[in-house]
Formats: sequence, structure tokens, C-alpha cells
Amino acid sequence: MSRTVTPNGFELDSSGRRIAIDPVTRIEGHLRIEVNVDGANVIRNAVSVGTMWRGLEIIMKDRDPRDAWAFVQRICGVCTGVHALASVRAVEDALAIEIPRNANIIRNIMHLALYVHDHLVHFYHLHALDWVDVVSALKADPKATSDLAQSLSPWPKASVGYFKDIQGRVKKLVGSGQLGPFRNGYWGHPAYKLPPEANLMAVAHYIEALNFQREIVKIQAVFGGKNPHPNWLVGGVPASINVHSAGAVGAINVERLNLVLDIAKMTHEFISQVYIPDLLAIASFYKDWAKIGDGLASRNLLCYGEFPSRANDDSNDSLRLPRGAILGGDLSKIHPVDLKDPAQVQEFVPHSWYRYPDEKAGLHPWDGITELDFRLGAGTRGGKDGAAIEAIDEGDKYSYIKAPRWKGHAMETGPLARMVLGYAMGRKDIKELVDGALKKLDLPLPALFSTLGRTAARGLEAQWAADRLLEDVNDLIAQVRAGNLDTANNEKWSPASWPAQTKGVGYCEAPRGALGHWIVIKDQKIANYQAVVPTTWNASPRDAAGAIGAYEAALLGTPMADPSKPLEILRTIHSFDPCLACATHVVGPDGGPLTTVQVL
Amino acid sequence: MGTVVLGIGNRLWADEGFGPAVVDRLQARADLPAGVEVLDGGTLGLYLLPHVQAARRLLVFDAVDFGHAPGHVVVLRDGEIPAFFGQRPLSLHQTGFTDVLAAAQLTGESPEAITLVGVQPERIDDWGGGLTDTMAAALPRAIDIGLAELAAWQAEGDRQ
Repeated sequence: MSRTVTPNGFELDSSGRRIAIDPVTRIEGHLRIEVNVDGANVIRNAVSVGTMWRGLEIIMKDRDPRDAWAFVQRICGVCTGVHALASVRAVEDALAIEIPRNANIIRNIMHLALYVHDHLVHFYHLHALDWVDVVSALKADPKATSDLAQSLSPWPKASVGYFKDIQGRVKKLVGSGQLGPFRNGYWGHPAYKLPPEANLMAVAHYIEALNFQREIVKIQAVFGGKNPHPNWLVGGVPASINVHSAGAVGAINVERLNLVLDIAKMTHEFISQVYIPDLLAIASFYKDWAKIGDGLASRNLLCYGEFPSRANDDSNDSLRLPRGAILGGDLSKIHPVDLKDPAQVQEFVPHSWYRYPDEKAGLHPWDGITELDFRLGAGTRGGKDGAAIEAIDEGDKYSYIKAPRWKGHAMETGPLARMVLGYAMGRKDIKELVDGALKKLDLPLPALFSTLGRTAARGLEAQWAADRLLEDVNDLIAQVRAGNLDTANNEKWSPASWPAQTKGVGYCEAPRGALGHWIVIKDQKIANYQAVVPTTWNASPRDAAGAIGAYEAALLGTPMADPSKPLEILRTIHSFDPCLACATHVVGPDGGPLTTVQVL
Repeated sequence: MGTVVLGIGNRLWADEGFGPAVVDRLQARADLPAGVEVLDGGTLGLYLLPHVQAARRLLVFDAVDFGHAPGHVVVLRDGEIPAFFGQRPLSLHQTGFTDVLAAAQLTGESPEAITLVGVQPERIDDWGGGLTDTMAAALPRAIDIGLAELAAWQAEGDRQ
């Protein structure tokens, strides 16, 4: 049966040409996307395949819960810290450990710094080249580029000479035949719409952001000792404060706090004067993408909440990015989310390479099972005797990603979900940002439910995070000035003080979306550990009933100019900021590689 | 910063761990020229940019697929490196590192001299298996070549 309607209301037609996009690099996570297009090259079926097994749940078994953060943090080196934060929160929840006020502020500062860094790097270095044509930038007039830049922002690097210099450097790189990060782009693709001057301005800021991003991560290193993978601590943060130069060498002192404050100020300036003006300028040329790539966005959104303003308080009075769910696009009704309720977050595996005793049922992560069951459906093309898979059979198991559902619903998570939930709940700071951007772009609220909306929401959230980062750094300095130096609570450090059996959940809003770690502790060791990560939600395969996930849904209906150059698929998938390796090659319907795409 | 020695690769993938293995051995030596910084670049990708930008001279050790016999050592200098990288896939993390070199160039801060000492891997899909005997045997030769390069750079520096 090639035509079906999914339980979540999407029409799928797999009768047309099949196109597969599969990454080749092995550094980060893997994602493969297959689509069927109709005679007019419009996507009518989409399949999201996680091709790498994580297996960290098994590594965690029988380990000391206090060490869990150090292992799970290695799930990813990009959004570094998020798994550690979810992990220490899970253990603290299980053992009823309260962290000091400063620990909460420092965790917020580190996490806000990550948001800003991650969103900035995503926009300029992973996503911008889906919209910005580097080769076209060579045709720009530096004078006109300077005029354009000065009309958009007070950012000082905007002279004619500056853009001439940048253009020269890009020309040299292109002329050497070595495009570096720019190679394998679809330069000249008809879907690129920016004038050469806007392209040159964006390329200049791409280069500036390369240099700037390395400053932001110093915040992680100040409080966590290093980056990526800073140090964390169950009960607080492993960063002692010492303002009087007595006591431990290497503690956080006034000089370090001033460094963090300086970085926070610079970051705020860069986001306000470069990122946001670029985002709005680029978006104004791509308003057609406010109607493409919706999927689940206008229906089901999920947030666990983040940035507690009060330590140990994860109520919505405390969380500055709220917790809640929206169902069926009804923004007037916010559903409360309880991560401990066994009927809310559940994972299904009928289409995932895992085995459950009863695969019709979902399992709450506390009862989660991580048992491999790799098999390819009868309809798979290729894949025999070690040969590459040409087309996967989505009727059977087809992904290492489980299908998480909230009260049975497939959900989208991430910056768009957070901005929309905050907007729907009337949060003033979020509403101002969203309304301001919509007004500047002259777009209505539903424009948010799109590829463009997802990308815009991330930028607005970066601005939000940069605002909060400055506030929180000043808050920490005020605390230290008032003599509050406490950063850790070691009361329950000794396992002898723990109950024989307990369980907990650690929430986190990673830059990419809702992240939860569920831990079961027995006899002072980890008995079960399950992580449900943002990309599990968004890249979810079909569930027991056949409902599709956010990536799959968002690709449906997308018109492609040339299926062998799937720029449109990359735009929508990248708008989710997927945690996957970005070097991908494209395999044609006959299984032969058509082209190679490198998107940094 | 003067001279940076960078070993890149993934230690978990057998011969892909060549670069970091060289770093282990170099860091244990007391006779490196003064002012040489030896770094395990792992698979850090873009995070390596500040180290590349700061280096006046950069010596890179990496497992690369030249299509030679396993254990074969190749030395590439400056302009040969991007030209070669452009032709065919080399190492697993090439995207990361060639992009870092190009990014350094784009920012206008790239080393005056870059030398790549590459060794043809025998096996990379033996996860957690460590270096093969072939790769381990090639290691001293690759290190000697690298040390000779450092000595030449130092002599050049002394003359200036």
C-alpha cells in the first residue's frame, strides 16, 4: 500500500521516486533521510533513520550515580554539558539533594552560555550556507555591501575596505580550488535568493562568528575547568569561590568574574548587532519558507522548562522558559507535563531496532529497556551481504531511535516549541521578542510554524539567552559581594546516607529541545538509566499506530527544484538543529551516489 | 605561539588513533626543541581553530588514506595539503580538520608553515582495538620524520 493517512493526520504516498540522504562522516551522530517525491518533485513520504546506536544506557548499569554525569556527558561534544546537567538533576531528584543558590546561578550561566554559543554556531556555521550563496558573494560590490550593513546595524565592522578584504580572502580560497567549509555547497542553486551584497555580508559575519564563538565557551571553562565537557557535581558545582586570595588556588575570584561579565557583554553585543539583524535580513528574502516545513509545529509542542530562577524549584513560577505541552495547535490551553507520570512520556519500538516484551505498548523511561534487535524489513532494497542500503523498509523496524510519545502524541521540541509556549503563556519577555520580529518581517503568528519560523525562533531565543546571561552574571557577582560563597551541598555525598532503593528524573532544555534523564538507584548503584534526547523526539520514527515524527512530518509537501541537489531537505532538517554529522552524500533511486553534500 | 605539534584522530578506532599515539610518545620525551607545544587534537574539529590560528608553524600527525600499502608514511607540506585533501576522501575527520585549516585562512590567521605526516591505516573498524602491529611499527619512522621537521624549523629560526 503506497498511500496511507497516519493516525496523526498526514497523508503519505510512497509510490514516487525515492531519494536517500545519508551521512558519511563518523564523528557525531548519524541521521539518514529518505523521501519519495511525486511527478512534480514534491515530497509525499519521508523516513527519518537514526543509523548509530548509542547504548550508553547499558554502560551506565551498576555504576556510581555520582559519576553518571561524566559518562553521559560524552553522548555529545556539541551541546556539551546538557547531559551532565540532566544527570546531576536526576541524581539530586532521586536522593532529595538541594543545591545552594550560587550553584543554581552558575549552572544557569553555563547553560545560557551554551545556548548562545550553540545557536550562534548553528546559525552561521551549520545553517547559514543553506540560505547564503558563498560564490555569489564574490560578485558583490563592497561599497553597496557596506551601505547595506550600515543600514541594518550599528556594528562597526562595515567599511568598504573591510568587505573588500573579506571578498579577497574568499576569492583566494575559492581560487585555490579548496573551498574548505564551503565545498560541496549547492552554489548557484535556484533556491538561493539573496542578492550578492547580502551574501557577502553574511559570509563576513560567518568569519567573525568563527572567531567570536571561541570566546563564549571560555565561560564553561571558567566554572567547569574545561570545554568541551566541563566538570559537574552532584549537589552543586565544582567551582569554589574565593574573592580574598586566601584558600584554594584556582578558585573563582574577582578577575574570573570580570572575565565572565566581559564575555557576557560582548556576547550580548554580537547577538543584538550581528546575529539578529542578519537573521531578519536573510529571512526577509525567504518568506516563502514561512509556509514550508510545518509538520508537527502547528500542532503538538513539548517543553520540559529551563533556567530556574530559584534553586530546587522547577515550578513554572521559577522556570524562566516554561514547562508544558500544546496539543492540536490550541495555544489557549497549556497542558501540564509530569515527567514522573508513567502515562505521559513513553517510548515505543515497533519501528526501532530494539526489542520489548510487548511492542504494542510504550514504556516509561524508568521502566525502559535497551535491548538491540536489528533487522531489515522485507521491502528493503540493497543491504545484503554488507552492501549499502539503497532504500529502507519503513513498514518494519528502521531506526536506532525509539519513538517517544507524550500521552500518545508525537511532539516537536526545541527553540520554536519554547518560544511558542512562552508566547502562549503570555511571558512578556518572550512575547516582545516574537512580536517584534514578526512585525519587522510583516508576517502573522502562524508563520512561526515553518522552517523559517524554527530558524527565527532559535535566533530570538539566542537574544533572550544573551539578555538573561548578563542578568545572571550580575546576580552572581551581587551574591559574592554579599558574602555568599557557597557552591555545593555535600550532606548526602556519602552513599551510606542514601535509601536502599530510589529513583529520579532530571529535566533539561538542551539547545535542541527537551531532554530527560531517568535514573533508578538500587543498593547505591545505577539499576536503570534512560536518556530521552531532543533529537529522539524530533527525529522519531513511526510508532505502533503509524504516527510519524517531527522531521518526517515537516518534510511532507516540500517542493524540490532538483531532487539530486536536496537543498530544500537540508533547510528543513537543519532548521531543527539536528544532532547529526553534517557531511552527507546523496544516493539516487538506483542506489548510485548522485552527489556529495558537505554542510558544516 | 611558535610551533605546534598536533596529533589528530580517534583513539577508539584502531589505526585512526595514530595522531594521538604520536602525541603520547612525544609528550614523554625530554629532548623536544624549546617552544614546541604538543597537543592531542582528538576529534575536536572547530575547537582546534584557536590553536591553529596561534601557531606560526604547524606539524600535524594523522592517519590518512592515500591508497598506499598499510604503514606507508607520507609527508606533505603547505600547498600540497589542501590540494591533496581536495582530491579524495582522506581521514575520517578530514572534514573537521581541513575545514579548520580553511577557516584559519579565512580569518586571516593561518600558520606560515604546515607539514602533515600521514600514515596509511591498516584497520579502523576494530573499535577499541588500539593500533595494529603495522601501524605501531610505522610509528617510530613517522616520529623521526616529524622530529627532523622540527629540527629544520628550529635551524631556520636560528638563522633568522
